[in-house]
Amino acid sequence: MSLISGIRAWIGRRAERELDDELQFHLAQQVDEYMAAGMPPSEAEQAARRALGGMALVKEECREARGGNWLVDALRDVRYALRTMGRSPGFTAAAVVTLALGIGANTAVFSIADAVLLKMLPVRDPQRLFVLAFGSVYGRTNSGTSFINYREIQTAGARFADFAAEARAGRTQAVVNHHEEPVRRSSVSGNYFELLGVRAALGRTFEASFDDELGRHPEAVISHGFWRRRFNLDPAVLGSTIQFGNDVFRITGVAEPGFSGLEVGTMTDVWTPVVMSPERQLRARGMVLLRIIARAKPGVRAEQVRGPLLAWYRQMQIEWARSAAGLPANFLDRLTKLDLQVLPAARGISALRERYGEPIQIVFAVVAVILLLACGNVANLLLARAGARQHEMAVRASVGAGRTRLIRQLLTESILPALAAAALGACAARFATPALVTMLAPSDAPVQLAVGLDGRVLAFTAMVSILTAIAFGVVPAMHATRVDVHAALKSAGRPVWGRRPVWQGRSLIAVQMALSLVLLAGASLFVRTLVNLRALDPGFDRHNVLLAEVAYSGGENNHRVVLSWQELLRRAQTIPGVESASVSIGGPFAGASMSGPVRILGDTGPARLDPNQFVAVSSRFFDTFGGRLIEGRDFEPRDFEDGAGRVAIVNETMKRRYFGSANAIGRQFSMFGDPPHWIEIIGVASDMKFDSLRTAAPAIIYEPFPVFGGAPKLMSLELRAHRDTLAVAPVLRREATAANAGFTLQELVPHSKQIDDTLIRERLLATVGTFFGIVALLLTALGLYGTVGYAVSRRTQEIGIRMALGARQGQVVWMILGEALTPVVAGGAAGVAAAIWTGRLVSGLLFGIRPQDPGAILVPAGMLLATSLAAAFVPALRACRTAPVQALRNE
Amino acid sequence: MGKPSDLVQGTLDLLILKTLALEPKHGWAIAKRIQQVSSEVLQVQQGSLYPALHRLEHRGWIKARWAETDTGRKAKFYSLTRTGAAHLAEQVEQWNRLSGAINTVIQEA
Repeated sequence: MSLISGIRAWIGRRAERELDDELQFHLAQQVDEYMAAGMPPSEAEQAARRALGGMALVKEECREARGGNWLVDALRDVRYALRTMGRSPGFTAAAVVTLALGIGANTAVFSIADAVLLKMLPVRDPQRLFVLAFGSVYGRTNSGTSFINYREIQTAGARFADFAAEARAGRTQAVVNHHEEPVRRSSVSGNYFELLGVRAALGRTFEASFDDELGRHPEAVISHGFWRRRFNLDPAVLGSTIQFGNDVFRITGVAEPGFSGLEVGTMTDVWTPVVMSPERQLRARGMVLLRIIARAKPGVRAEQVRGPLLAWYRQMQIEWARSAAGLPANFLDRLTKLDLQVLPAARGISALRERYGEPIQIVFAVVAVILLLACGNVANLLLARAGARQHEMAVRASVGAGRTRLIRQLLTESILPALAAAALGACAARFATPALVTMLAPSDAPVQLAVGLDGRVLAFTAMVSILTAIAFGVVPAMHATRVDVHAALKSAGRPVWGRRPVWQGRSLIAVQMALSLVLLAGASLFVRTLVNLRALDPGFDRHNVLLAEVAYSGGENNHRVVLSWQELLRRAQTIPGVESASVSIGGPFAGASMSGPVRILGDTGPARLDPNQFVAVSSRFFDTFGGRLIEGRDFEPRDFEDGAGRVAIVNETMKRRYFGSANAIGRQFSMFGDPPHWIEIIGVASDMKFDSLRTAAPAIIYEPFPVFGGAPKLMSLELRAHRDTLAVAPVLRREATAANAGFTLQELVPHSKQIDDTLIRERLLATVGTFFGIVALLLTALGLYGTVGYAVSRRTQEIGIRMALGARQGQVVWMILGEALTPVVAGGAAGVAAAIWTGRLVSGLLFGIRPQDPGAILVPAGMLLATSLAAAFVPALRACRTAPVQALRNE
Repeated sequence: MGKPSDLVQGTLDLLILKTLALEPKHGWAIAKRIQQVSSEVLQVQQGSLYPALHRLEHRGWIKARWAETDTGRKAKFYSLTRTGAAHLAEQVEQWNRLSGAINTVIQEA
């Protein structure tokens, strides 16, 4: 009590002083009046006090008139609630843990969803930022364009917007303080920081004028995070250098904290001016490596920005086509219809969002359902307890507590455990969130998200916990306070209401059943999808294949470079345990490819514009991946020699597209252009999946690796080994150095892992779905157990009488099970319909299974039924074990 | 002392509001005024005035402000709020109806 009276005194001190002053003033006036009438001062004083009445009493009445203080009331409620919670620690712990599970899961998923989907970029006026997407002749759009185009866009669109350019941040090796390490580097235009409104925390950023001075600004701006991580926030960082290959950059600035580039999921460490790229690259229109960021002028709409840019884009393409002779008419026609889009970038640019936006929403829905289930359980517990507390409520009502006052008290008792659960859940989320983030990405290319318990996340958690408390607390509170004071007091502690709360408990069970079934069915759909995709024949044998990126830094002529690669392959094939070795650019699941349309020698119809993917390979490529040559021959050493006639192997899809069932061997094709360079088809290879397991193989043209752009300096080396073992790595490194000192090998990766990395979404949904499906199953079973147990305990007498009259144990058990299973079956039936409906919503993510697949729904339904039976059976059995005499004696 | 024995609580409220309708006053002045206008017939017990004032303030019908009196003392001045004025108008009308009815009954009796 001392705390409450203390607070009351603290709040009331001012009011108390004013009351004192007011009454003293009254007395003074009255004394004046009496003295004016001739009374002596001391008498006047006494008379005035008498006229006013008892000072203390008047004061007390004034305090009462001002009404109670809500804070004092609330504190009293909290104290009472804490005492109630402490009296039943088991109940409290069960409620808190159940809710913490739901709230924690929601907090974790929200912090990821917030980072990926919701959070605005930490730049000035993000709403006015846009990114350009350029349409291509093949219908795809891409965000890349060249430096020349960027300069032209700046002029073309100047009226409605300002433009900056950035290259996608790539991981590259850098030498910082004489120490080599991987960093994420992005090349940006000079006005990049200024346009975004990102200031320097230290030093200065780049200037717009840089873009006019190619190669003249070897400067670097580093991110605040990198400054902290790598330089320990040392201001002496300015002036130190960072080296990429042979290029040395002086660090001239640190970007303000919080900014790490525009791409969500990737954190840029170092920005360098785009004008420091090789000049040949800056002058080539085809080097489409830059993304264009537009900042619309105030009041300008995206559509207005788009107008002049679209006109420029089409014009530029047509001019380019005019300079390249020999393009077919329908190709030129498509150029005049090319599209250009101006897309909002306020929340950043994210491949992550495109890939995981939908899965994250699904996971969010899943954890929301878990929270609902948890609420249902706690509500059920409270409903059961409401019966036990009826007497208490009646006593409080009879001594004058209003119903609102009682409801407020009971809601406080729900909010306290909810807040405790929120605290516990937030702690759990701290650990769960990073685990979930790592599930979003392969281990060697981690997703970097600024997730953590920031203000937004904590606000979300607090809001969720309050809503939760209301969700599970209101109905039981309404119930508990709707008491017939008379009857409740007379019954001396035994609940007096009829079947109603039991009925409410049952409808809760039915809803929980339906929700759990939806989760379980969803999980089974995602698990089956993953299994189907893994079992799929991709056209190659993913097992026992090891890959490594290999760079060659020798400076010799083409011929010598080709010989070095050949020597590397020869040596690799002699390693014990290696069956075959090959090198390639753009192989299956390598992620990069060149593509374009071709024409066939002798074909007279209109040109086909469908693109074919070009893959550069060595011989034995098909042996290594486990593909087959259906017709013709593999590449031979002579195909790689200088001046050899150009030859190619095509896959089945390419052959079908251009030759149907006719023979393709010996036919010739060429890229568009004048004059054509005819290439002879020497083989047809079986189809392999190339970009994704879900989509059919594209049309592929395999060519000997020295063909495009001279001898390549960076290729993927593939080994087929006897076993899926990385043990060959050291030997391979030795042999590579022996073949030529210019070879450097990146890490060896099993091909199966690379393919598995394309199934991250599916794995995420299957894992998270299964985990929460099981949680849902457990929660539902617990809820049912509690409800049946409560119902049984209330009917002990009835059961005793039945058994005294000769009912057998089996009959009693069946009676209780039957009653318990009614809501289970009803909820299950509703759940089947709901599961089919939700399955349709996610059908885009499924593979090889339909949402209404009977197995995917009936198996979880069976699991749910079996678990429910078990959960109801235990209390039912306990009920019939009660000796009749004991049950009756309870009366 | 305490609760007004000869005045219904509602009547005291009505008198206070009516008194304040003219100008803001402090508690002592309100007591004096009520005695004056009722020709000293209605004796407001001073002790019951203050709880009534605090109650009316709590309900939002009157508001208080500290100011100096003519004699230079600091006093708490009460004035009518907008809702207070509306409430007063309503109460006065009700009072008129009721007292009219009572008058009729008395005269006919």
